[in-house]
Amino acid sequence: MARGSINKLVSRSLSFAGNWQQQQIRRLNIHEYQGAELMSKYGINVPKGVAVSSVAEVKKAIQDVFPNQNEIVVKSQIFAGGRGLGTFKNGFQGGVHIVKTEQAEETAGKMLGQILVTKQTGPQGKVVGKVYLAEKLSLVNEMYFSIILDRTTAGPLIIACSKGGTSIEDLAEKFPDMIIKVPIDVFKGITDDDAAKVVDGLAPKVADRNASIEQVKKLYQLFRECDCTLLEINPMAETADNQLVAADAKLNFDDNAAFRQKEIFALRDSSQEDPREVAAAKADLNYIGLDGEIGCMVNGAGLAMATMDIIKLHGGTPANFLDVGGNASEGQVVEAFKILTADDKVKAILVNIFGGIMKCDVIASGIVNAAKQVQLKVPVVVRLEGTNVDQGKRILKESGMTLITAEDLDDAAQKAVKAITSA
Amino acid sequence: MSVNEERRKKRKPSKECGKWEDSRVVSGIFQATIMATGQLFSPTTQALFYNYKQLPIQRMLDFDFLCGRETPSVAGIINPGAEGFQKLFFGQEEIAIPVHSTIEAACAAHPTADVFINFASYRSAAASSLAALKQPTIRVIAIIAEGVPEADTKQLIAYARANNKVVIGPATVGGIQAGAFKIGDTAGTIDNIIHCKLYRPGSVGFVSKSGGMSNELYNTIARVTDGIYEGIAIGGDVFPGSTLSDHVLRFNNIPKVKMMVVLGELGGRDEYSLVEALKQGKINKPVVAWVSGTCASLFKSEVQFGHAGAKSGGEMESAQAKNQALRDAGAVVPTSYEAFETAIKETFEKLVEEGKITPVKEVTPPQIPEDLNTAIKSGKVRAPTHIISTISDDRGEEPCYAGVPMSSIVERGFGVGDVISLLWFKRSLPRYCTQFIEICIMLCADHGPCVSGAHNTIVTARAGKDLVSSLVSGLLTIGPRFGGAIDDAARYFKDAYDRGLSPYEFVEGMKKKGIRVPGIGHRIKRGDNRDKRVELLQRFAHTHFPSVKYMEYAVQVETYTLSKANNLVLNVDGAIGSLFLDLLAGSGMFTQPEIDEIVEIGYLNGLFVLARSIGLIGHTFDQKRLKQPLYRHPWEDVLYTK
Repeated sequence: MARGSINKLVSRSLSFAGNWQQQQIRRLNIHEYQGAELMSKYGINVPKGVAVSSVAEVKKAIQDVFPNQNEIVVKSQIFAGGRGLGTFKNGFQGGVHIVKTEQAEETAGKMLGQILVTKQTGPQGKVVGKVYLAEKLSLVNEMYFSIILDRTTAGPLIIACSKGGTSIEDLAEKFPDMIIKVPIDVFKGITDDDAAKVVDGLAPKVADRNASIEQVKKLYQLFRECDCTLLEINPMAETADNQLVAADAKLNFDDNAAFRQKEIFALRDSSQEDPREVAAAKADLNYIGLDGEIGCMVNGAGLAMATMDIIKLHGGTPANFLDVGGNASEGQVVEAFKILTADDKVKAILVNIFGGIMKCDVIASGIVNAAKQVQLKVPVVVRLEGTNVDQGKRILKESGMTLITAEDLDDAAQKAVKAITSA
Repeated sequence: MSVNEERRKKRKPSKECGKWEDSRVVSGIFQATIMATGQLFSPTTQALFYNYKQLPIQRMLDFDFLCGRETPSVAGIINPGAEGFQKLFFGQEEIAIPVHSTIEAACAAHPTADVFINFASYRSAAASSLAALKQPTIRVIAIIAEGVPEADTKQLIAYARANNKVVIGPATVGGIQAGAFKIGDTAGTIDNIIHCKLYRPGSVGFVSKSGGMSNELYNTIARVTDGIYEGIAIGGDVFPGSTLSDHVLRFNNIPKVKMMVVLGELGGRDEYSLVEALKQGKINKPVVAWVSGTCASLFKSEVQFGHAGAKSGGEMESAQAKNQALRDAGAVVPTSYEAFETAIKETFEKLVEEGKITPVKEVTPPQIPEDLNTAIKSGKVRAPTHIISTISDDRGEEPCYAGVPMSSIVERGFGVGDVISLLWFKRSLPRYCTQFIEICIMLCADHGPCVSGAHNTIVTARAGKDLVSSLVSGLLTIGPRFGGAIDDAARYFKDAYDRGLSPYEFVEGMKKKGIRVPGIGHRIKRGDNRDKRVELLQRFAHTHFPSVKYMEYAVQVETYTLSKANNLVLNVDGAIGSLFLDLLAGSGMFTQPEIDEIVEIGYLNGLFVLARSIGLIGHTFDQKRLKQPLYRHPWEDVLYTK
């Protein structure tokens, strides 16, 4: 159930009582080749490369893009880290290979359509739908560059270091004096002075200073115009031919800006997503699949989190994070129940509702209706509190369903854990 | 706002409620440093509400009433593109809250309203919030929308900081100062607010990220302490406009707040600012804190818990690390969420023992009148309806005419006669009957431009009046002398036939009473030049009707009247009137009382009105098309005389 540390597939939607606005946005994850294309569109130097989805395309792609190269890098495109050390289910080792140009077809053939398992994909792995053929660079210097949104300065902050290639945490430890931070005025944007300060911090050895300043400004332009929340170039490299090149990049986009970044969000690859989460997204539910045994249905992200904490405290493990929101309809409750019961790992279901605006009777009718539509094979523990609680309890009682009722959150968690251990 | 002033005079404020707190913040003090002064709201705080949402505003006003506020907490509503008033309840009475189309206009009209509650969508929330922040009268902004782009929020924060203003949210339910002021949907329903005693201030300052959890905590705090003084949900975004520590520091400066309860979440570093503040001794009141998300350690990789900011990042941002750091800095941190309640309770009891808590005087809040709709739904009250209707129903998936759905009317190939039979007679009549109705309508649709109805319509249309005026002006001429004879004809023929009068007795009886026999006589037609329309109707009836006794009686009457004068023919009104009697009696679809009622009410006149409308509308269009000028009757055609 692992997810990439920086690019994840998660859903988010309602999180508090009385939320009146439904939306469902899933964190965007784009492939490496898409990131490279985007950067090159902004005039940022990136290694030359081309993505292919079949072996047949490889030869022509190499002729077109790398007519004079002896070696190229063949990279599996999946939404997970640890590709280099991963293993394919067909036995082939490694998701990233540097090969002789003439071997590229063979290597790509072993990757395409295969399932790559890395430490971040979980044992089920991810299908490789595309491979990225990239130029092998000869780097003469590696630096670090990133732009983040910063709390203290209330705006974008550029971080640069004349050393690079390892994580920023490592750099901060080893070379604290070489890291410079340049805050950018959120209203004015980047100035020539700002960009020059950054380039001084990077201290390129062979690249032209003015050209480097232009690169920094273009990176900032991309960060702003594409609503990035993080743009990290590590390493920012200098090549033998005196170019400043973004050798590897991480791009995070603000989900909240999806409405005005249609082109970027169209890059989504749903083949890489968890089907349970896709189903939940359709029903406008905020769901994240996990590995545990107790299926949770809660209103409000905060309460969901507290519920999962208490399940853990009593020795259970939550099977999911599921927030039906502060204003769920009966239909959504039914859908939520269907997703929970369809999960084989779920051995008990815990419903925890504190109805502020959300009405307990709506939740109760949803549970009863869901029980009519799906076979309930596992015990269900219900804790209802708040608006229309008596009506809700009456509906549950009159339905004749076998439910375990709980008085408070703690009681509910204990009963759910007990239901599993005694089953 | 004259309405409110009037209200203020009318309503006697509850003395006890009014006295709670006199923290009315003079604007000058407020200006100093809003966060440091502590107090954001007071029982006189008024807000401007952006984007009209009835329920949250009504909930705010209900809260006001519960607290015994004299003025509603919503001074004005901004609804882009709309102006006027919105009717809402303030207790039992209705008040009209002004609606403005721009933020600037609203701020100018309500200079004392210093809170801006933004219910705009996530797309436009940032722009409207920035516009509001730029208004000098606005000091606090609450942004409800979840999903405001982070770069936009950054701008809001930067502007607010530079201009000493407070942003609550985005992605928040808002906040509440017990007994004084409530933002939008905070604390849920009135029942919940009463349950948590939020109608009067207690001694606890509460701040959380989650709005949903604040409901849970308001309950908990009400259970184990003297209640909430103020509660704020800062929202689940990565970059909230104001932070947990901002509000804790603020609470520290409010004398009535004796202790603080903080509910954090994993992800982000905000709790560490609180840790710093505690370590530096900036906080001298007890802080009970818990950071949710301890379960994150169960999962191998990063998990996002619904809130954008609740992301398990590095070790520092984990719930465990933050709880430990808060504990080390001197906050009361329980071992689990479950023990949170006990920790709050013990901290409060310690304050009581130390004599730091002044006992709260309990008051009974007034009852909020229940909304009629809710009360009816729950079966508590019943209300009489004011209108009854039996012919059509538009509530289902498609409208029904006398129980027949629109789709089957179309599928079964019904004509307009069938629709008339459903809507006028509330039943499906046999096709020959509905066809007869259609023939009547076609025959009566028009009768040239010279008859009084068409003439009126033409004159009106030429006066430049609209379609409806032109049509109605023509219809108004329909009556006893023009077109209105069908009903009378039916009435008299029916009466005479039913009483067994001979045509001679009938006609002479009428003559004695000085009544012309309706349905008999024509301006042009003669005994040797019958009305073609009458002949058509008679032919149709002879072919299709099971019985034509009334029509035959009418013909006998005509035979007699023709012996008196050659122009006393059965006219079209008489033919329709008598044949309709045959239809009603012969179809077997009506009982005798029903037939009597139909004739009595005067259904048949309706046929003429409906039919002639077709012609009158045609005349209107004709005149408009011809662009005819105003009609003036020529002098020559008028006899001027003494």
